[in-house]
Amino acid sequence: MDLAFESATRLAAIVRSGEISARELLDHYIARVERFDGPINAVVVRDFERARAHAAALDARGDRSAPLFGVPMTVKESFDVAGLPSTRGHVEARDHRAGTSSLAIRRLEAAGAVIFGKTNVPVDLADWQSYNPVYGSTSNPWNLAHTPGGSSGGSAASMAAGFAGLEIGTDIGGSVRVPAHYCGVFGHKPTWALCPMYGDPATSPAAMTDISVLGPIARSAVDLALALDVLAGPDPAETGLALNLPRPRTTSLKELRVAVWSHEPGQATDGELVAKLDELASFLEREGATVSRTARPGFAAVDAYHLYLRLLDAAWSGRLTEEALASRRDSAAQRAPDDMSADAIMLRCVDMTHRGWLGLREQRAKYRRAWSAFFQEWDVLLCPPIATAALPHMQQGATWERSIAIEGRTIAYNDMLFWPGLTCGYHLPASVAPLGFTRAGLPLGVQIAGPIYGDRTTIAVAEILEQAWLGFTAPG
Amino acid sequence: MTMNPTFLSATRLASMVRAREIGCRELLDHYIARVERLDPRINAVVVRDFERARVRAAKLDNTTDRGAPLFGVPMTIKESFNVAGLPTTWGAPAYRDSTAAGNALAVDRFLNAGVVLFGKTNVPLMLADWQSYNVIYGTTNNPWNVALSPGGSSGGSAAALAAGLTGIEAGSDIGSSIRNPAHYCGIYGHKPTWGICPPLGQSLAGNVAQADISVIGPLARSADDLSVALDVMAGPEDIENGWKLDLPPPRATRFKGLRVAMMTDHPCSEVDASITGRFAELADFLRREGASVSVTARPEFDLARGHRLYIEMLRATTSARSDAAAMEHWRAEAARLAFDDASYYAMMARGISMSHRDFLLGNDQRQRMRRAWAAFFRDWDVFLCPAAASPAQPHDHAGERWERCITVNGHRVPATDQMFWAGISGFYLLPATAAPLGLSPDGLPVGVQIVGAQYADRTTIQVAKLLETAWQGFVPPPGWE
Repeated sequence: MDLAFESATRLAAIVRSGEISARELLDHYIARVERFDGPINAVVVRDFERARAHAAALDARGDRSAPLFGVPMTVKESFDVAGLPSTRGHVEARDHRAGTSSLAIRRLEAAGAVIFGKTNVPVDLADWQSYNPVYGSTSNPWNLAHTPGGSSGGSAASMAAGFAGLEIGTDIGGSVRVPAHYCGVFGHKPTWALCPMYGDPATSPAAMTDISVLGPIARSAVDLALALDVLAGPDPAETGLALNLPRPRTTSLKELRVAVWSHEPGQATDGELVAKLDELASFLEREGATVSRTARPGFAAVDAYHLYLRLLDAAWSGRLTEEALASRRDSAAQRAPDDMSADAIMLRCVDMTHRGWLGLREQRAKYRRAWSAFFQEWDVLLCPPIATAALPHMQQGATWERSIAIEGRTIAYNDMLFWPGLTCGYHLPASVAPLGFTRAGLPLGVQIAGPIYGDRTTIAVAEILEQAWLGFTAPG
Repeated sequence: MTMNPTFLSATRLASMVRAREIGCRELLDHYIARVERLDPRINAVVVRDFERARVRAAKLDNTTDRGAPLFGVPMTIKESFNVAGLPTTWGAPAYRDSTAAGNALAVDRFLNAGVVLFGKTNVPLMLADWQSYNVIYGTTNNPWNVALSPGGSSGGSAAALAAGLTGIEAGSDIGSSIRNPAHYCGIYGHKPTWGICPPLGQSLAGNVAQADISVIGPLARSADDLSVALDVMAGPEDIENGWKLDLPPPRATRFKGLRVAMMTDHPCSEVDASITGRFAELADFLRREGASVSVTARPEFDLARGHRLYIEMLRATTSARSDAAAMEHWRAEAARLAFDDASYYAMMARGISMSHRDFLLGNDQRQRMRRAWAAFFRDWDVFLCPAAASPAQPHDHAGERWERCITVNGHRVPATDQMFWAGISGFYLLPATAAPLGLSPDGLPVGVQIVGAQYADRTTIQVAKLLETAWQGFVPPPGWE
């Protein structure tokens, strides 16, 4: 295998042992970006010279024990890296340069990573595609006519195409998990609040939202565990808290208790994806795992989904301009009262009082407890990351003006929030691992959700699947 | 009985029971007898559970494992905590006949720590006053002067401790509800860093979400008790098992070298000379003891702006109590009043009707203010300030809370001005220990609020302990022997 598709763990070991220098490895990836990124357009901010100096400094260092020693990385554009732009796809922010790096970036660099570029996103990180007027459109390395997903679309494309050793993204509605699934790589959405999102204080919000998280995207489940250890842990100001993540509940497939939720009545999910997930369930059963296809948490899925939509809209509202709010008020007024699409439910949340939100939060706290009870009986839940494999580029209009056909049903584009929201609305950790391929040759992933703080368990299950079922495959 | 245990600290009571200097049942009966004889004067212990407590105490007397930190300590608790089989009403008639099915997590933790719970103490309606009266249980009086309020909302808790009716207490605090009654009654109280003591089961109607700003914490007759009780109450609940508490040790164990900032007045809330005078003496004392004391050091943000944000976000946080009609009323009031009207009424109207979006924007500002506090506490170990604008005030049940006035330096000021001293720590989620400072010229207790950096709970309690040893400890009110 080309070095380019190795895991970050392996790359660090190779650099550590001196088989290749950090500078050589970096140059290898830079050469690949220069040669292959043109049609994919994933690595949209390039910082090669500083990275080369950084790599050379690592090569001169005696202590090579850092966990990501010499691993070349690209990171989602929205992370602040000192000296580089963080535009989130806004033209007016094009000339902005971050003064200080995000805490996550500082932690990765302290762990020995060499960050040499930033990867593409949709405007405001608000799509499962990654195009914007600043950097253009990113394509899926498996099929350029398809999107790599979003909002961490550049991150997943960079991983699948072998442009970097490791990536990090963010996720409030599938933004780590969906691109990982679309591109056939691994991703981990950590338990909420495990990885502080502290950015450049001059430009970024001081308070984090009550849903969004940051997490790694990689070519191996082992890398997810390694990166999580680097990224997780309280903000240095939170001196009274220490991380205490439980060990994986099991690393043995036979001891695993798996609930499989491959489809849900009323929520369109592509048949190929459902079939592949059912196939995985049968495989796990044959291998000796305890598998249930009917076990569900103690609430109606549709209620938890709608609650998530409302919480998502409420969380997002703090980032909206007055103009955007006015436009949402108009759009809300045009929706029929019985319109229960995701967009209508979210639009109706415009101008929600804090009192209204308190009611939602109480309900979430109750569902969160129901999830905890569920995970006393089951170690993980396997479900689709989102309704379909990677979609063809769809860049007309706003997300709420689009529709897609799934299994003969036409649904609104944003109705695909069901599978991402079911877990992240309730702060659950969820890893994504390769599941298989569609007949058309596009990758499929499985979402592996666990109890809050069960991050090591969901990643351990991704590792089990990587070994026993399917690992990363480089696109042809 | 070798010595009268009434006003001893809980820690001392536990060691006496542990050493069999007194029986657990005997100690319980001592406090029960006091409640039966003396509580009619103050009406603090409004829910009584003597028989179950006696059975438990008898059982503890037969236990050989006596290592629990509060072994055999008779305890009462604020009415707002669920105790299986007892009512939880928050003073609201709608919950008059409610009976809790299970214990609050804190109650279970106290029981595991060896206490004998034998009653619950009075609160104001919905815990929303600095007095403690309601139509279910009536009015609680201050043991120092029954014409005065013990404060609130943990008013019954503080009154029971000061009157020697119980060994230790726990209360809750979103607007000084631990600190204010501790100050009014001359006892100790600790408002922990937000989030470290899970409030599960300190709720009405089975609510489980943890409210912003609001915390639960201990009240006691000694600083040591706060320390022991904090260890009992603190730590994530089981499902939050990804974190463990790792509170830093106290920054200092003596006054020498302690970096103390002090603030006893602010344009938002005038403070009575009976309090500021005692603070001036304290500053002199601390300087003599070798502490470095600044009366001008302040965090780098506008405290008045922070106060306004606090009231608005506090009222937003408690807005779940407003029904649709009330929401409509407050929305109209907010629209009618000038946007920059800084009266409590206007801030309350804006807060109750606040959009979630405005709350998020306010929260972002608060986050920046919290960072300013964090920077401040790199230079200073503790920030000392009053817990309220005056010593305990006469009962005043007329009208609405925001219409009432109190007497400060001989003139009437809005009672709600002193919310400033509640928010100065609570809004920023900081720990704050209330400790006795002595008596006012009128013979009423005066307390200090010792504020520390986030998670510096052990530092603020340690400073309370230093003051207890070297300056002023708990003094029983006259006439309660």
